[in-house]
Amino acid sequence: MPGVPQLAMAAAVKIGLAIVLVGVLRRGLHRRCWSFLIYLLAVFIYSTAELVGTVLYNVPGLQWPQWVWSWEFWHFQQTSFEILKLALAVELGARVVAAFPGTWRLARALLSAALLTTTAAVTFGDAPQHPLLATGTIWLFAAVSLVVIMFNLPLHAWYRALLAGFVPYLFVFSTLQSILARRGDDLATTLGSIDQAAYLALVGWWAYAAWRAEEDVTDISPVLLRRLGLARG
Amino acid sequence: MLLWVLGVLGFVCLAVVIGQVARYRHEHTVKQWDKLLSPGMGFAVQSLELEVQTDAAMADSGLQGAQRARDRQDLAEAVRLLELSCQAIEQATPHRLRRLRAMAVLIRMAAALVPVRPLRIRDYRLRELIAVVGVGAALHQVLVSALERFLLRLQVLGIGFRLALRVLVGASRQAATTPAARRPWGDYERALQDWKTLDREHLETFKALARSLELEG
Repeated sequence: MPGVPQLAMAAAVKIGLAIVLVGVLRRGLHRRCWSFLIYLLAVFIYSTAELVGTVLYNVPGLQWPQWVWSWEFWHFQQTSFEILKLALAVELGARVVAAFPGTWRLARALLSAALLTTTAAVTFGDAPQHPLLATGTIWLFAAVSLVVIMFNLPLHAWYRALLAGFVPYLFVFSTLQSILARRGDDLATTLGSIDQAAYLALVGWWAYAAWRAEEDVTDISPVLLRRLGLARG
Repeated sequence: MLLWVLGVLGFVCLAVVIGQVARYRHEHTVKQWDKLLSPGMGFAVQSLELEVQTDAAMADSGLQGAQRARDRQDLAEAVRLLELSCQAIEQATPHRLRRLRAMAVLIRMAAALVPVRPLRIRDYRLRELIAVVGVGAALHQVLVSALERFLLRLQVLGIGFRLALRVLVGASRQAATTPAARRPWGDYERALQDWKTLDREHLETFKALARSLELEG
């Protein structure tokens, strides 16, 4: 069972998630990426249930806190998060190229290749499933970035914040940690111990991105911004 | 093993994403798109047409004056006029190369493209240029997408401009050293013809880009 510092950190993450949620809804950023809103809600609900389960774990007559701390629940929860992150990456890709029909073919090919490779690795590979799914999400984000670089596409600040937040976190605390753990490296344990703090930092980054003022581009007509998908019509 | 491969690929992806986010300049990118989609493109084509004609006229007039002076045996004047003609080309070529580079960026941004034809070997006289244009024409048949063909055309034009300028400068220097010799004058004339042909092709390329943007608009 977690100690007081972990519980305090978990509570801080919930508060952070609530701040991000309010910021996203207030600025209408959920309309830019619905999957992220669903992901936020899922993380908020699951982790709140986990926290409440921890507090009520020893209350006599209550069965569900034990279930919340079971491997089945953890596995179900992680798989849901991984699938939501994959969906988020696909939605982000689709939205970034939506205003540019000439990029659709390349974007479709890259995203399909990343999804197919992830599915094949999860189905036929002997590696653990969760780091594989996280790595697949990183590929999808990288595919989106490649299309953006190739066609010099404009990228909304919210999408940049999602890319810059998710990819380093997933790489260090999922892919890298899993590799180190398999090698029996002590660094994996260290990474595991700071994972919660890193996630809190990630939530802080999203909160900053969700609450900061909209990027202002001078001398550009609103019609063009709408055409480029940077402003809503 | 599989996890290691995935890890390395993951790291490459991380580098791509971080690199992209770090070098991205929002205002600059949006302004590039603004320029690309603005109605000023028609005016830009007209002014470029004028520039192509003026540069060709300056180079031609210098060469013709130099040839006339040479016929009169006024070799010093002939060399001076030839150098003036060469200077006009030397000053114009960097603009062409910059425009070709800018077009390479713009064309990636253009969603619809007007197909372009390869450069024709028969239009050129310099051996080096004929070889480059020939390779370009062969590659044109191999490439599939309009974007790749357009980018190839820009590359061939860029190399062509550099080659033609090299021959022009070389011939001009040789003529200055030995004004009575026929060969540098002949080389200069051929290189100038080729440079003008390249310039017309560069104008056509710019027009194709503008047309593709109009279609997109």
